[in-house]
Amino acid sequence: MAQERNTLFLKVEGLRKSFGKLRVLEGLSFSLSVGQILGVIGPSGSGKTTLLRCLDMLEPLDEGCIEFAKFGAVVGAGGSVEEIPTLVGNRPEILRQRIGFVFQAFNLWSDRSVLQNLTLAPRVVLGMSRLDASSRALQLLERFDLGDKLNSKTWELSGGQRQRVAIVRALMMDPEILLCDEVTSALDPVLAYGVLQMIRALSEEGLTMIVVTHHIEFASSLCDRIAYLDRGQFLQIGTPREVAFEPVSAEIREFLKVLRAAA
Amino acid sequence: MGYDWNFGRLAPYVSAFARGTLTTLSLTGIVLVVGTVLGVLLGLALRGRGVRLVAYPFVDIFRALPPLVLLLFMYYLLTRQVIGVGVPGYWVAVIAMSLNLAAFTSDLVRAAVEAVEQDAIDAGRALGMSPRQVTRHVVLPAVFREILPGMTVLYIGMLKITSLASVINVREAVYTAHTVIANVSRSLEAWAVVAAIYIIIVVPASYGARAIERWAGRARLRS
Repeated sequence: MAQERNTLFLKVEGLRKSFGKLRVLEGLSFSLSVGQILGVIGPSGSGKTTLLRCLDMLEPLDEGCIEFAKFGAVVGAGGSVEEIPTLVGNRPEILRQRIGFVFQAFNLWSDRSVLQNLTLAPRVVLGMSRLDASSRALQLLERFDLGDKLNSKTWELSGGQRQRVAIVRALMMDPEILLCDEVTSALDPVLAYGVLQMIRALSEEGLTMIVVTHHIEFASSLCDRIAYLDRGQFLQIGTPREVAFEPVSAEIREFLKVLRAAA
Repeated sequence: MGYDWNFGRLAPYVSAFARGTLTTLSLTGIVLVVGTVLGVLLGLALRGRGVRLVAYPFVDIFRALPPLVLLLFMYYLLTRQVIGVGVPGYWVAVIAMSLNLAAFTSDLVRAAVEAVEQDAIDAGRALGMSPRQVTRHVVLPAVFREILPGMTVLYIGMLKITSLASVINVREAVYTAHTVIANVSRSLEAWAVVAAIYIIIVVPASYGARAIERWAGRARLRS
């Protein structure tokens, strides 16, 4: 996962997204360098999940574009994907193979075992052999203390274990960026700790990440920058110190106070 | 009073009943395969924007028609006088009953596809699967698990419905009974044999269907 730090990974310009009459993202613009970790905080309904889903092209943009400098591709409005400099057509799944997404609700396939959850995409999408996929799965599970869960059914796991398996499933595709959508919200503090430690380990390896979280202390210690998202706009993007000690508005100050009290 | 049972009169027709039973089973087997494949394709088509305008009326018509009416209509339609080529009764029965099964299957499939959790689909998409791969590896396995209990009921029903093929001279078990009765005039014995044939096939199948229903119920609870 070694990457060239400080080169541009992606640049978002004027990102707008609505669901019917509800405007969720209102002209977001930001950039992210290779190896950087961007934390996104904000109240519920501010558009955090929608932002991540747009970045992963799970939702088409209404306006604006996402330039994946690392991939040499631009995602435009309506889900069009252009690979610079030649047009290759609308195949967002090609880019998604290089983007890892970890969902708040884990999104594991409940009718499959842990091994099957982990190996399906590498086999089907990357053409990995069953043997190679299985050994990579075991290697990653053992790395994150889940080696004994290889053949377990997903419903046999605790919430924390399921989320860690979900992260491993994303890592199986060897992504170049990991998008984490409130990966600990469904977990109690004890289970959340294991997941957060896993993300910290990945950050120390230099993986580019965007992490949506309510754990402000964790975000402050982990992230290079923190962005406060509210009503579809970034009210502030800065270092953890800047956001924590120099919030640009009273509502950010109040929000951080609530987060700290809840921690 | 008292009927003089004489199954001995049916002894020369044991092989005929065996052949008739095999025809019943082969007819059922082909209909189950063709009807299921058609039904799954139709069920997926019912979710397509343009295609559903044609697919829905098709499904409604074939669900409305009694199997006997469908069978007789197809029998008189698929003839040399009408379409220029005569289709043997066996294959008329395959076509008619497959269409009947497909219509009922498609509704199960449509509902099952709608019930597939968006989270599961999103997971497939996020891992870089193409839409076709998501359908093949995420949607269809979930759909088959969901429709299995309903399908086993349809399958057992279809096994019994194939007895209607006798009216278009398909030599399955019921037709064989008619032939035997015409020769030896032992109606009760002949129908008792046919009843036994269906009981021997259908009752174990029903136990299997219940086991599948219990398995599907447990799988649903865990998900």
